Amino acid sequence: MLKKMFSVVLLVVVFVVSTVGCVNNTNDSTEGTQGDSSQTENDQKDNNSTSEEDYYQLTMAFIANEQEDLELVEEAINELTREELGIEVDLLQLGFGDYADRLRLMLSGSDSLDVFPIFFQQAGTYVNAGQLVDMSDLLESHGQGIIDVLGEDLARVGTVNGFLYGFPAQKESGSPKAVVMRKDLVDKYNIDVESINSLSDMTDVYATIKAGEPGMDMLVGPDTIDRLQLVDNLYDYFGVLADFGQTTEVTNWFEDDVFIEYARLLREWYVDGYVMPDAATSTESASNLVKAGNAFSYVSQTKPGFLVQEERVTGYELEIAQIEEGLLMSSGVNFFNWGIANNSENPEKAMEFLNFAYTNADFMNLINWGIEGVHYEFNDDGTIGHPEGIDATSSTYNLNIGWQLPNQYLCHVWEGNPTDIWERTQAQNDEAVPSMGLGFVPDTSTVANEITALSNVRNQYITALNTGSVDVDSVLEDFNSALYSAGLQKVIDEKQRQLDEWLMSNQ
Amino acid sequence: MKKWLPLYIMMLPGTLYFIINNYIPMFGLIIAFKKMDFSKGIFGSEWVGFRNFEFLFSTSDAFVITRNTLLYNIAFIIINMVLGITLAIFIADVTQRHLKKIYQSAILLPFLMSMVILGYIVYAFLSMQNGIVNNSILPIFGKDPIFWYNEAKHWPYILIIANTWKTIGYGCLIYIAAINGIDPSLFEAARIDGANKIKQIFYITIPSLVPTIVTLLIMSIGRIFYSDFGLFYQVPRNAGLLYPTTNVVDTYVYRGLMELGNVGMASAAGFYQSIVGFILVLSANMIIRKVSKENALF
Amino acid sequence: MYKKKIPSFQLIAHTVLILFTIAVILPFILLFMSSITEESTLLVNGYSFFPEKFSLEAYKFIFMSSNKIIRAYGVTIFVAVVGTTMYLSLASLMAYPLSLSKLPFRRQIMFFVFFTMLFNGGLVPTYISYTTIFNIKDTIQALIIPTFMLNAFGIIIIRTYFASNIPETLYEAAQIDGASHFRIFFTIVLPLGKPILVTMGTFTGITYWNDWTNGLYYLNKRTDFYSIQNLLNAMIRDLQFLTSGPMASYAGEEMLRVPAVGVQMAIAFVAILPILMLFPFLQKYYQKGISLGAVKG
Repeated sequence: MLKKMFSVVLLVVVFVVSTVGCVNNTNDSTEGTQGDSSQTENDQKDNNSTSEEDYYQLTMAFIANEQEDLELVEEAINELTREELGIEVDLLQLGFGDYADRLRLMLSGSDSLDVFPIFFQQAGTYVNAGQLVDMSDLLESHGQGIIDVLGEDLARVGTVNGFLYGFPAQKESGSPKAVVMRKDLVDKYNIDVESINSLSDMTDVYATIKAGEPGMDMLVGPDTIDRLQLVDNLYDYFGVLADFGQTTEVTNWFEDDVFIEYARLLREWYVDGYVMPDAATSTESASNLVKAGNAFSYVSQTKPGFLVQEERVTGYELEIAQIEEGLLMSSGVNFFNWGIANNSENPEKAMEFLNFAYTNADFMNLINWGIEGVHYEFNDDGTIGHPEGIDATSSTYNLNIGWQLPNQYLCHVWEGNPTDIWERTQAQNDEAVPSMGLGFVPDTSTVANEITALSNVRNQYITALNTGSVDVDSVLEDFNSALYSAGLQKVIDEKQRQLDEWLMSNQ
Repeated sequence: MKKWLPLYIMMLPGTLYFIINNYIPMFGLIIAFKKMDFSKGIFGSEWVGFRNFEFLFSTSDAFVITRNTLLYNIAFIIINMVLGITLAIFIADVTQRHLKKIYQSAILLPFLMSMVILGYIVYAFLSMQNGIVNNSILPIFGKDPIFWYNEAKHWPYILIIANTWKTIGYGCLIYIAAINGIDPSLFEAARIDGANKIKQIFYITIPSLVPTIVTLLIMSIGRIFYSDFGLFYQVPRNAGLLYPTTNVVDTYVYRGLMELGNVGMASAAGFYQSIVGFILVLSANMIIRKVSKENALF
Repeated sequence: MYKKKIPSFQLIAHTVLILFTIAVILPFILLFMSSITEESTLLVNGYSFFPEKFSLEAYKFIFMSSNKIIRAYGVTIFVAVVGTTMYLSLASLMAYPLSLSKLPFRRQIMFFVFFTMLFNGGLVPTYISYTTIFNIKDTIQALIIPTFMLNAFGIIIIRTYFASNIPETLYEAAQIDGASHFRIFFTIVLPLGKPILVTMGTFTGITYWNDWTNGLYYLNKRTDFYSIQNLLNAMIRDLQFLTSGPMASYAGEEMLRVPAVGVQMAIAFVAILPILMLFPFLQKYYQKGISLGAVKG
């Protein structure tokens, strides 16, 4: 008994000593925060596997599922970058559910991080907390490739208050919106898809189909009205540019006639039983619900190749009816931008790397699809697919996050999509209606308190209104008065002021 | 003094841990008073006094979240105490070995279920379309389905039941341990004197539990401004219509700062919760010192 | 004739306890049933105790990544065992001296301990402290040391127990016999404190078992150190994010790789299994500790 206890105590002591012994002794600033630029002298390389030599160690983070062959692909990429840039890349994969927390911690501490995707909702925060590098000058000195690829305007669309924080990814940005429906039911009830031009046209369709399939949900999805993207939401919906962004006056979207009209429509549908009763609380994706067999339709943005993708996910043949044009707005374009973290020890090198990422097709293909022959093979029609014997669940490397990566236009096309898909995507972008506020990113740091309160108010009502779960008239009044007492007018005024300034300086 | 030395040595590892794990990071409390700029570091950032705290008070929601946080916690404390002691007494009284094992295991079971999963289970019962309550239970009584996730008024009851289900085990198990430690000769003596079970409970068991009860009470008071985030966010599925009765300080801060993510403001919220708890605990401890000195925490 | 009268007290007690046990078990049964329900049935009909269609797809999915899961189990068990041992050692070593009414500076030390329950620097400073000063990232210690290895709650509860259930006269008697404090600790305090130590040990063990935050924050590259809960939580949070507003239209293909609800239920169940099996064995430790009488002699 005694011996057992003594060994426990010994364990304690050994443990404590081994831990304390891990004190990082090269660190001067024991308070552990980012000092001034002399911080960069300190050694923070705790998670690098590649050899040091003279290459700059760069950490690139991205958001995707875990990949088995990450190291393999990383090495292939390094063979490229060592030669071209004198850089060795350390790929850091962050999960979809965790990335926000982990980035927040990494950016607050002194982890090695150079380039990473910046979600538009968090951009303002990072900028104001000094966690990003202003790339305005770096773009001129090291980013010519990026300007060539994106064009002068888009290269700077990630600017807030003069601070260039990130470059947008090449992707479908101004997508038309459509109602996605199950084809078998459309055929069964002889629905004329051509005649559907706006969401309200669906009322009769739902009535018909519901009568024939009473147990089925006609419309699913918790944010139908939001998905229609009828306004430039100026990042957070608190003060918007109404009328498809074709105005320079910032107004309250929730008092807008268009919003009210749609809210009433959704309510009508909910009451008539077309909308899934649990729409506001279900966490299932619309495509999963269709897949399960009990949902008829949902609203979504579309893009070239969308139909094929959705059919693959839902397992049903689908019919698409376009109801709204594409709208180009800052928050849509800047969905995930690529920027440089304050943690970076050599922002110039990081900028060189970004320039490389936007212009080098080999790199883009390596990182998105993996190594040719190992992770993908070419098909006869020029598209690529899994190698023999491998499928989506057994693949050892397949990021497929083109919408997030710098320049997916340089990538091979995955099978099932038209080989000219990138041209089509860009054409779709070009056809979209640009908001008059495109390129303007509001800085809400001065109204932080109001935004906090407003977020809570909006979260309280928005899903219910988006799904028709509440009676519109009674709730709308409460909603708007709550918004105003939370300070909506102040935010609107501030955004208007910033917008006017921006408009003037961009004349 | 020398005779006390071994005792201080005993306390050394623990003290070291607290310094490393709790006290060193406390430097971060300053963040609550600063406009944090990471390129300047914590000490280089601008001091802004109480500005980060304003959002907690200037909003119309301030009253609602404060009220909700306090009322729920008071309810939890009272219910867990009464129910916990009752169950502990019942279980300690059980003589059959097998039954006792089953009951004691039962108390521990809820710990294993995370709030996320519990949220799914509650959803399974209360889902408006497919829920067990709406589809199987209410029809038996001839009632119409209730839109559980649209009506805020039901949720105080639902959340109290959920919380009790999940956390009753803590107090209960501690009470059981305390009861097991009572000197059996006390019960012998009482039995000889002719006291029945009820009398034994009220004159021996409960008085012996008083130190434990008081300890748990003071600690709960210290946490009275904190809430279990999982309970108030996951279980109601973040349904907006339920905010009036499910929004507490922790969820308010999370929802408000999710987009902005201002470190200073988040830190200020934590600081606010700590200060309130701190003041209340000091007061409670002072009161208890007056009543029975040995039961006070310090 | 031996008539056995069932006292009404016991009747009430047993009724309450049985109801309570049923209430506790029911959700777990539901959890299990939903893990063997066919996926689309789950989405269309909701969760049910009597599913229309059964399916073991969820468990098949899990076994495909079984080596990840088995390793995660190993990690979790190791962390829980080591962590709990450390916890009980540190906590009881602090609780014993603090239970002695005559200890100099007792009040101040109690305050030092209790203060940690009230004020917390917050996640970011804790993270900065552990990663920059102590370089703890990507180690197995990172799962054990931060936050859970000791807390004021445990120390105070254990101290209260020691103080109320072990009379100080016992210590005095032992000291007269020449016993040192360490000897008293090991021969008197620990044995008599068994009930509370086992109780707090159970809490801590379960806390470690359930924890997913340490792995999330401190493991960047060593994903082989992920605990069971890290795996489970990663999946659930991935799903929650991918179905949220702005992401939904981009998520597209990713949805195929994120496991469905049935699988999440299955994983949750699988995560609980080992502990469920452990419960019966733990029970014997909850019995009364060595009676005072024996020690007095």
